[in-house]
Amino acid sequence: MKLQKILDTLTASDIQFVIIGGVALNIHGSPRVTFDSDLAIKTIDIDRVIEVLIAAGLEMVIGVNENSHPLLTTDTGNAIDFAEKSRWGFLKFVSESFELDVIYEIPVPFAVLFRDSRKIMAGRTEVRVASIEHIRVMKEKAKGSHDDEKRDIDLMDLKFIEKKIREGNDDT
Amino acid sequence: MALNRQAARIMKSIDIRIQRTPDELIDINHNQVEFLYSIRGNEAFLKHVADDFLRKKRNHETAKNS
Repeated sequence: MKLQKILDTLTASDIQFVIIGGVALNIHGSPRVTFDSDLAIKTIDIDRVIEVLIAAGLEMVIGVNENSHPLLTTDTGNAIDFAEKSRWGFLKFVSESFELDVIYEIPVPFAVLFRDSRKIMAGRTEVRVASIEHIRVMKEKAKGSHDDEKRDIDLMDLKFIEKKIREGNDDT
Repeated sequence: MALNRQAARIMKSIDIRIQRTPDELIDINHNQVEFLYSIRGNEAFLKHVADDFLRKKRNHETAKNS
């Protein structure tokens, strides 16, 4: 499973999304590679995203056990049921070689995130990448809830973002 | 709305520990690097990304073969 295929699949299904998180930062020029990819979507598209991504071969996390290990499903009904009851604010999909977080509760209204995003070509698919300013807002929010290790990474990312904004060099 | 704001405040704070083999981690890294190359081409910053990936891969191969 590859990110390109996921982006192609969501686009072909007419689902609007914006690339956020570490991959968005990479596209803005940060050299820190993360293991998971993050996309923001509209809340109204949650069910369709679940259907499309499970059909594409991903498993969805529908909880964690006492050791924080994920409970997975490929059953669309179970996954939608979990999403309706969950207060996580995001969906997590995994495969053997891929991790994807699909976030629907973000500190910026999706319409604003989408409006200010940059269009880029990923293969033959036009996709949207969050603006550096909006990545900063999301990083600031996330920083407050992360453990020490993740907070260090957040601070490193914020340093990169601040430099980028100071330089006025949003070069996607 | 208040609920949404609260959820946004704790954005992605759920602790999910996915157990990966070193091979899987290398695959994930490889996919990310490949994707970034497809978007940004052979730019200077990507050399750092690729070098880091290749170093991890070499270390992994060495550990596997020893």
